[in-house]
Amino acid sequence: MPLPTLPPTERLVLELLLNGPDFGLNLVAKADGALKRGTVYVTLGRMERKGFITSEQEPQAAGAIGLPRRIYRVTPLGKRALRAWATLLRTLAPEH
Amino acid sequence: MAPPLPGARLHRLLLHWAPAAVVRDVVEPTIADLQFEADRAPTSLERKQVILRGYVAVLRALVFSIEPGGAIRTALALSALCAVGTVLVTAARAAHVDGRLLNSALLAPVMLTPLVLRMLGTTSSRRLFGGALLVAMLTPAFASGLALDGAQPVWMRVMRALAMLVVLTPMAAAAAIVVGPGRETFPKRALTAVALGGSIATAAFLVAHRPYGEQLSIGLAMTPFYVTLFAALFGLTLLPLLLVVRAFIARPRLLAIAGLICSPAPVIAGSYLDHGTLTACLDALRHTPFAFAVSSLPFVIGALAVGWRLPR
Repeated sequence: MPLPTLPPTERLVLELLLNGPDFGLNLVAKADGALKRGTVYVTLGRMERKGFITSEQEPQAAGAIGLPRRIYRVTPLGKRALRAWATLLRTLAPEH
Repeated sequence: MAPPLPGARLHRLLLHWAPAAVVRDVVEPTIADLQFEADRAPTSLERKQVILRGYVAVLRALVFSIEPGGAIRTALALSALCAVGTVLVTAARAAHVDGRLLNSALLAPVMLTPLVLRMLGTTSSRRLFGGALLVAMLTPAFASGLALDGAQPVWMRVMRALAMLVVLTPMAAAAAIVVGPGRETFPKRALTAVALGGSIATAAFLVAHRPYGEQLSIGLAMTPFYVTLFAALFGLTLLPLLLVVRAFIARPRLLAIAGLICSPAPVIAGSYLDHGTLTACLDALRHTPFAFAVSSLPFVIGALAVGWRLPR
């Protein structure tokens, strides 16, 4: 089985979601240019398939029109993956 | 009557045509954001901007969702650019059009390639350059510009290919650096300044030539040629002068004024290209000063922009 990987954008998404569940557009705003609105949902969809995050539709108020937005939250597996990645980076860091 | 819900029609269309997983995971959240932002836009103009940005985001999201992976997507994009370039060059050659139009047909795909690859997610400057150079060389090859049909001896074909490589490599490199994701390095800022100056000079040139009855569509079709020409003239004549000035002056406004003062350099170079000799340039200045001033105006405006955007 191939080892799961954690690209920089996915790492950033996990770090941002550690502060609490959020919408894709807010993640783009908080990422300061590192995430783009045209690609953020492709990344989020991929992460959801990996099991790092889950999502649900925002409950809509009565009479609201338009598509409901999707809210994303990090899963325990996502938190573990982020911790493991940080440990790996510390382990591989050159010793002085 | 309430304005139509933006993206609703596109959503309905994609429900039928795009894979269900892509619609659920990518398209619907992007359209939901578009509708959310459009609903909260304070002015009509901002609402239009939000909607435009949202549609671009949906388009990008769809492109990035295409399976299989990135390599095939890039190959498809490069093939499409080569095909479009080949059709343009072949049509221009068959119609025996003005050389400026033929050159534009050749240059447009080279300029567009790094942009398209960036939109598809390529972040490596080397790949952007490689893609642009590949399109630059394959387009004339497919359009018989390199005489691969055997009409010329081998050594002539090789020399012609080498000449095109020498001319097109710096252009592909410049396009890749300007569009590339690299940090704001000195070469990037200098090239961006020259490209911006070239674009502004081209726009001024097209506007200045409108009263002479030149069709706008023809002028726009020549844009790649003029942008390259102006950028090359600015890069070869104005940029070295401004780099010397930059050692003493750092403020953008003063550098823009320095660009204005140095603008005779590209004007003379451009006029020399037009008239062939310096004596003919001086004759043109003496006999038709108004026409000379009008033809110099794009250089002056472009030089201002180069100075203003030059790295500090």
